[in-house]
Amino acid sequence: MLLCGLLALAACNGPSNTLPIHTAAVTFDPASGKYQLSKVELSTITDLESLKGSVADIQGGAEIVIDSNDPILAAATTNDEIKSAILKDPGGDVRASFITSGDTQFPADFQSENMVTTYFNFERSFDFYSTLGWSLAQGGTPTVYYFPTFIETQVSTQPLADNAAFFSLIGGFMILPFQQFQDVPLPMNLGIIGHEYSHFQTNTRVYSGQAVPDFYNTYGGFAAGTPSPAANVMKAFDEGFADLFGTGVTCFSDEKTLDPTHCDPDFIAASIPEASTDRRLDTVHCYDQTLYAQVTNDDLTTFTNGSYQYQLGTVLASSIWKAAHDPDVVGKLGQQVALQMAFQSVYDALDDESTNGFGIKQFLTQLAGAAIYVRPESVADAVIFQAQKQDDGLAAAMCNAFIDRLGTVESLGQTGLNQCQTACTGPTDLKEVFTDPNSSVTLGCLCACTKYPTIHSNGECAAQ
Amino acid sequence: MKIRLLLLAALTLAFPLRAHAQDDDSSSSSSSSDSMNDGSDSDTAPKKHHKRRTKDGDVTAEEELAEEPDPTKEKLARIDEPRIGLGVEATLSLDLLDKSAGPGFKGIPAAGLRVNWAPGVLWTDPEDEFWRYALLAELSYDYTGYSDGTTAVNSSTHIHYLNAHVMFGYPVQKVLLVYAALGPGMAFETESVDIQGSNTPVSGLKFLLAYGGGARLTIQANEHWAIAARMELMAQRRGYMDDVFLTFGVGGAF
Repeated sequence: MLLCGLLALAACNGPSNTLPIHTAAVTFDPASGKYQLSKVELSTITDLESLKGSVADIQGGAEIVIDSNDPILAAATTNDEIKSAILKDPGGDVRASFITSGDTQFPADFQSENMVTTYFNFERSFDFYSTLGWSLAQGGTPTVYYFPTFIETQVSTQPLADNAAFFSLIGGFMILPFQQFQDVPLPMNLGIIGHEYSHFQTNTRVYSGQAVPDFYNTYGGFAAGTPSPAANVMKAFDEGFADLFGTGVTCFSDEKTLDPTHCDPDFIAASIPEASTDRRLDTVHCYDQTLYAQVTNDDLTTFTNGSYQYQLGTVLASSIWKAAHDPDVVGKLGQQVALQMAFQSVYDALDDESTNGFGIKQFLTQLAGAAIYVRPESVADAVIFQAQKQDDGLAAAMCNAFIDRLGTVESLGQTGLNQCQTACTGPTDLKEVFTDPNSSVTLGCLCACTKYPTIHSNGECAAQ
Repeated sequence: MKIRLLLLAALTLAFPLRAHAQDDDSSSSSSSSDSMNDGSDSDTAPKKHHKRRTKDGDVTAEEELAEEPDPTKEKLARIDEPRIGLGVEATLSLDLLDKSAGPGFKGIPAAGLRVNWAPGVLWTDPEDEFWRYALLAELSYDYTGYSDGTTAVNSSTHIHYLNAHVMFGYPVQKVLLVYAALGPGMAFETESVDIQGSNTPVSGLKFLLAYGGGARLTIQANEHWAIAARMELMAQRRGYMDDVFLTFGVGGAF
């Protein structure tokens, strides 16, 4: 009897799953610019102990191995076969530990805190994308493999660390252990989870959830040694939009609305400071001749090994960020609406099934492998097309920003931003502007629109 | 999970052990006590009574002694073993802490203290060796702590385990007790979260259920105390987390 009583008491000692769950997560405080422990609510979780809920299912102890010499992997063709070949051990439920104080269940150790914050960030990301049209029905509940043993034999026989990723080969997310990264852990950074969630929804919506998207094959992404500019651009817009959406998720306040004062366009700095300069959205990034050469001449592997996808992605994302902060646009719409419309334009640009719609998915399908037309400008066109539906002023500001930053391409005047023909007027002989004829100094970005006729030394454009 | 199952199996197996011990008591206790007492219990061991009756049928004095309870017997037993049944041991453990990040354990060191009492030493028939040594009530305390995280965000976790459990087993040759243990307790947990230099402490209590088994050795040092040592495998169910302790302890039994 005593034994039964004790066992029953022990069995009933789990955390409460009554929604909303009050717990604590590590969050960013925009006022102080620092991270802090905050009381938060989880509203989608079904089991707090194992951190399962509708927006994420966290699994621990998995083993994932990509071995290019694995015959099973080589023979795998379907999503399930590929996943089965590389997911050597799916792991099991995590067991987050909590200390209850009042109505709040505080994570009782670092790993529990890290996992709770991870779930919170997934919930916040889902909320953000939901405002743009994303739903659970589209992607289902993704599995998040927490601290798996991840080995990529071509890279190392040792488990890899210091990364967070949406991994299409297994149709889920990976949060790898940290080793070198000693700043804010990647899953505690809301922007980084928002970034990875963007890859998830892009894979779902543009690539139909394919483990190895056909488009990459169609556009030459898997031909080693052969330049694959189209595949490089596809990789770049995926990363750039992910940084933009990642920033968008940071804009989400506790009230689950966009609050421009919450936005952290440099969210990556808290976790990977060395990446800040290249990827923060509120500074100028140019599609210069060096980057142009990499996009044009590299095969996909070389391109991604050099991290050029982030550089070009940031050119695209920072252009949109710039447009959403254009004084005329903000003056007309207000900052919150301007941001919301900009995010909506990008979201809609990924997949637009409407009649006469112009989405990247439809664009890639219609081109059927005609790689020459898949350029950064065509991605920009898709976004501007959607922005025109939202507000002409925003579309015009996007044109200006894109042309400023993408204008280094010699042939831009002929095959550039088709959507901007009515939005922008101004000089078209961009090559002359690109290189200062007097000093032969490369100026970087160009100012093609009459609205911003002056180029500053840093490449930014201004009215005067 | 396997370790948990083994522990539960050990706990279950302890009861048949006890039953065996009881069955054997009647036949083995006197002979075993003879050998263990090493001849020194000549004062207390039952003596052969010579059947010498007087003509009128009166019993002899020796016979009278044999039939009536001997008030000095218990006192003499206490002289033979003057211990009162108390024990104190310091322990070092490998705490296989239930891993919150997934299946498996995180091995960290733990230190602790055990205070126990064998009530049978005082309260049972000195010749009933099984009940004299088979049962102990024990208070145990263990402490462990560890830090985890990055330079920017990290936390220190400290866990204090306090429980009262019953140890019940089979005494082998009076010096070794192979036992199973079960008992409730509380775990006091504290966590200190440091985020970019800002610290937040959190603490709380959790129900604890300890179960497992081990072997405890007591070697008589002199007539007043014995050296006690143990090796033990105990699980402490902390809330819904199962921490397993592989413990080595040494101390004294008084």
